[in-house]
Amino acid sequence: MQQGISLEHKMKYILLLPLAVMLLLLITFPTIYSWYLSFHRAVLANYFEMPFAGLENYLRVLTDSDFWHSVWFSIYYATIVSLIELFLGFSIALFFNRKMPGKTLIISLFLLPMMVSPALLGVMFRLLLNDSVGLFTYLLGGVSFLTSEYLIPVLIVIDVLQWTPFAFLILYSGLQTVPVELYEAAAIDGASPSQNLFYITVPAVAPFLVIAALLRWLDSFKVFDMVFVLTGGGPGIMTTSLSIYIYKMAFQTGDFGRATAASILVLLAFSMPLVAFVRRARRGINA
Amino acid sequence: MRKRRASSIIAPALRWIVTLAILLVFNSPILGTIITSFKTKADISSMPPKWIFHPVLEHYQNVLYAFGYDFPKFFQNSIVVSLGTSLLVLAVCLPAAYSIVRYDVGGGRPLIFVVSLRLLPVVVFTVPIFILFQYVRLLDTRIGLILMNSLVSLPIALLLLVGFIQDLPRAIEEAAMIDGASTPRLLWHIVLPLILPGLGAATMLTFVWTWNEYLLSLVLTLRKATTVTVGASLFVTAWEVQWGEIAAAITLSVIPTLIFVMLTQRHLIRAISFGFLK
Repeated sequence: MQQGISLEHKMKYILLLPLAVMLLLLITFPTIYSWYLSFHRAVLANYFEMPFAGLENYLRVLTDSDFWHSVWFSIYYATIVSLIELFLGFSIALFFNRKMPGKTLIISLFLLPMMVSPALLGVMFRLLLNDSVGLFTYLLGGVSFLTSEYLIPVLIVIDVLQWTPFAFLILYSGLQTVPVELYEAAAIDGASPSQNLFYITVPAVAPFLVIAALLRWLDSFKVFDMVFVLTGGGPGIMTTSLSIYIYKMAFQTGDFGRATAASILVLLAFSMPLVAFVRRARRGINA
Repeated sequence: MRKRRASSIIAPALRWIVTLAILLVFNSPILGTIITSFKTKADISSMPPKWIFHPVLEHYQNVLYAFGYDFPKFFQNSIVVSLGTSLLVLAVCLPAAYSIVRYDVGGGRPLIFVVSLRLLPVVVFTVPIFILFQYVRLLDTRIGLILMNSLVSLPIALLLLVGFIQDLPRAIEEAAMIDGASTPRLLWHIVLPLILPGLGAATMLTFVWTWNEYLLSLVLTLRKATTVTVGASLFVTAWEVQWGEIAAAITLSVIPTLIFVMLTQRHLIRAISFGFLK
């Protein structure tokens, strides 16, 4: 009986054990190993005997113009796609925010693009934008879209097609939280639709706009799949996002030291928005 | 009066046209690919494109049965990895979520730590995991992929389950405890049946996310454990001009997740918004 009670007492830790073990094996160890690699000359050629390199990897990454190019490309890409997706997502959320027959089905159909693998979406566009057989190439007037001139706009459009539904979903959920009474009161005061929008709706869903912006920006900043499948980061380094830069440094150049140094720089940079997110989340949990 | 009647017909009609246009534009890549997959080789290369054509299944037959295409194996790998990941994620998250909600272990810190993982780029894990997996011989295995995909899906699943358990009335569990049920029995016989919708939502998202995952499969598999996303993109490089086969391969790879989503559409909206927002 005594044993039974103490077992029940320990139960809360036992229940957490599988999660803790998994995180320990798959997060803690690799993170420590990453730090180790980043301070050593870890290239494929000397895999088994890695000399200590101090800060060399970090210096080489920070002085690499390709690295900075990929940082700027990722920031540029993330900023543009999240602005467009937020705007479109909010507009469509407002448009769908009324009584319509078959609305669940309509919304599910609208959400389908975000359930398609980004990599496969990339492959689809290789087909649809092909010069000789592409349906989109034909519909859009026979332009060769997969050339360096149009490549970045094409990537932006694909991202917008796939992830506007995600921004929509967050903002649509936000719209459901706005109390109807606010609009009723405004109607008595004779508010116009645009006044309703800017003085009631937008302030009420502002927290949701912030969340959608944050998630979309961070997710598109780390874009890999769709861009890699379509362009491989090229031509040259034109569409090399930070994730693609790290991947190529590790698995094409074979320099694990520099790849992990770049990863750790990314982790440090990410820790700022992460801390902000964690603070916010903690407030949400306590509430 | 007449004017009002006219607008009461035109406005809804216009609304339907806009709705259809939105759905059409956003789903046009999938539709275009599906259409191509059913066309004969001659119909695919005819310009202007034929919108009305005699559908054929030859590309699907080639992809699935013809010699030299590894597609059935990729498909099998994706199914095993996605199901395995869903199971592992549930097995790890359900007890953890219960402990986090009912015992408040660590005062919310474990949840926040796990959830913040969702924000990190997957690529930063690939290098150390690639080397680690080489040592422990998990490279190019389905188990290796299941482990890493589980890590990626943990945050959303844990968040969802915590939310659902928080909504459970405590009285039911207390009654069972008085009857002398141990915690594992309680979890299995009482909590689990009550949060089935939550489990369903977590499983659905994990399955779809894992099925769609590309980078891990690209880095951690060579040949044996390759999944459809990597398989289908290799396909393009290897069979560049076989557009019908490529379209069929993509369609086959996309359909399972779409069916899954349409079957669970009722829970889908709640699940996704819940998982990302809470």
